[in-house]
Amino acid sequence: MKNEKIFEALGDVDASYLEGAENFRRKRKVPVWGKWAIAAACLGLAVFGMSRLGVPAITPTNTPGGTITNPPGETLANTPGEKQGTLVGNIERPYKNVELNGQELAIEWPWEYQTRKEQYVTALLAGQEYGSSGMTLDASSVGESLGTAELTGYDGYADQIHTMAAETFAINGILPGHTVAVLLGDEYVTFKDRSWNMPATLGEVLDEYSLAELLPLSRFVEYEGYAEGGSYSLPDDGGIWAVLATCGDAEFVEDDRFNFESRTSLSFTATSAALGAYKKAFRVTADGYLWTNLLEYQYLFYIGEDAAGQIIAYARKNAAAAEPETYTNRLAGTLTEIGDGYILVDDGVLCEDESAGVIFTVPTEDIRVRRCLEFAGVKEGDIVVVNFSGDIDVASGYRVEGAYSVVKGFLEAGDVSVLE
Amino acid sequence: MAMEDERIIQLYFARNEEAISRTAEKYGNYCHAIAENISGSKEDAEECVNDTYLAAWNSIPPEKPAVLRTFLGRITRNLSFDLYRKKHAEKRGGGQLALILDELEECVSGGTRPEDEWEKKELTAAIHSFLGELSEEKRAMFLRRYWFADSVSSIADRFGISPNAVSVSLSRLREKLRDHLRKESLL
Repeated sequence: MKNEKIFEALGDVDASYLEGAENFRRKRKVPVWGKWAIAAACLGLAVFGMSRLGVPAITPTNTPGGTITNPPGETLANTPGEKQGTLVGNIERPYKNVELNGQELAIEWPWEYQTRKEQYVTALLAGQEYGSSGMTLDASSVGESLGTAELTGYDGYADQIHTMAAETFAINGILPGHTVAVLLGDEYVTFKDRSWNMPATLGEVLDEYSLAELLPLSRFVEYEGYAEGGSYSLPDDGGIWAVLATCGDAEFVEDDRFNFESRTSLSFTATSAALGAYKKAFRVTADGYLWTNLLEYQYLFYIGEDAAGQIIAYARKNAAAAEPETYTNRLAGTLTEIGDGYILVDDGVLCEDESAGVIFTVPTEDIRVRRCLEFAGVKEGDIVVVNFSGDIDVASGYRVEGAYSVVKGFLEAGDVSVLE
Repeated sequence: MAMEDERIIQLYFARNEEAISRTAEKYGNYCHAIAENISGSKEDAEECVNDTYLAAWNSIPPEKPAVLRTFLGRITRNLSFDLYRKKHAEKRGGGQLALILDELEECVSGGTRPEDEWEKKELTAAIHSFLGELSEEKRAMFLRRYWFADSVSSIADRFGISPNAVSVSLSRLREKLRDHLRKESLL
């Protein structure tokens, strides 16, 4: 295989190049966003995470150094020795021991097949450049108008840059220099400052981003080194913020090689539309560090063992064991019909007894679904994987809410994998 | 070379088993990351990392690595790739490598030169000159994906850009590599 030979030959490249690749981020703290970078960021691509049905979830915590990123995983495993169904969205299905191996796919969607949010991902406001987080913000979080920003999008097919003007607003609680809300069509999208500005202290970050108010710490996973322990939900994170409020003087630690290898830690899921963060990590180690990638770069503070101990003790005392978090909902099956405004997907192929399959109705009004059929060539008879963000409405005939992509898969020894 | 690495290599030369524990302490995490990226499995990664220590023990001396980190990384990468190939014959794995190989297929498809005429040395030289033509950023991004087998999202985090931007850049780089291989008459 020629591709394997390339991979092998690459193994022998000069050590200096490898060192360059490892140290790259450290040398270049302020990204320079050239025309190409803007253009590239503007391309509409569909990137799917990796998931499995039937294996335990992996929490998407990005580790410092960026060398290990656990892929996001699906939840609700078939626990060994215990016969139970596989959770698909909000319903349980009697699947055979099936693994759904979704993979990262990159499809360059034509401009007309992109949503407005996908098309315009860079905003220039008062000379400052912001990048889209792709997250939609509730109108109640939006503050005063900051004027009109120039948005830029890049059509990779026509090699053409598009621009449009959009009204921009402050986000309540956050310094406008950090994050702003851009009104795109009828939704507010969070755009984030792209430059690296090293904070002096934790207090600065807590204040300028109103973290205590805007970042709910309601889920966490225990870690011993990189070994994942239990998943928990935390109904009230007040105790954590109370401790962090006393750590305002904690200094920023510059250490690109910081890792969790021999550390005990709690990793909180950091999701906040106002901060433009989706399933990032906010991690407290027993030896006194607070680590987060919430704001894109690694932020590390030494808060001391006492404070970290208090946070960990508080979380453990007030938390309840919970199922691992779902990263995205997926269902798989055979695409049996492409109708007007919907498709039907039969999951019998995944069941012990094929006749136990149900037929899901997936609406196709969303352009992100339609483009999979019209542009990516998903067709009747294909095994498909449907990604969706809502629930499955059983009463309405297994209607799938919030479907946003349908990709081809294939069956291999009982597994379904997603192919580009 | 860092003093600490020099000291670790001295331990290997002295056949002192502390060499292994010191290597594991300093580079265990680094090697594990590469192995897990490629194999997609913590268990396989563990096996490859342990085999890396053994391989280092068996090859130093006589070898004296100039950069211990890279030396170990290369061994881990090779071992992980071997293990992947062994397992791949049985089942499609969950790691990044299946995707990476699919992506690299784009760089080599459609060529007329038979594979058995490909000399590794010649290929490495061509890849080296290709990398040399890239900007530091693009080179780092290419190697993060195709040497370290990082996921697209992990690269996006490292570079502070969106996964979309990474995918697009990588796609252009693969195209460039393909052109380069053509120019060098390797395809």
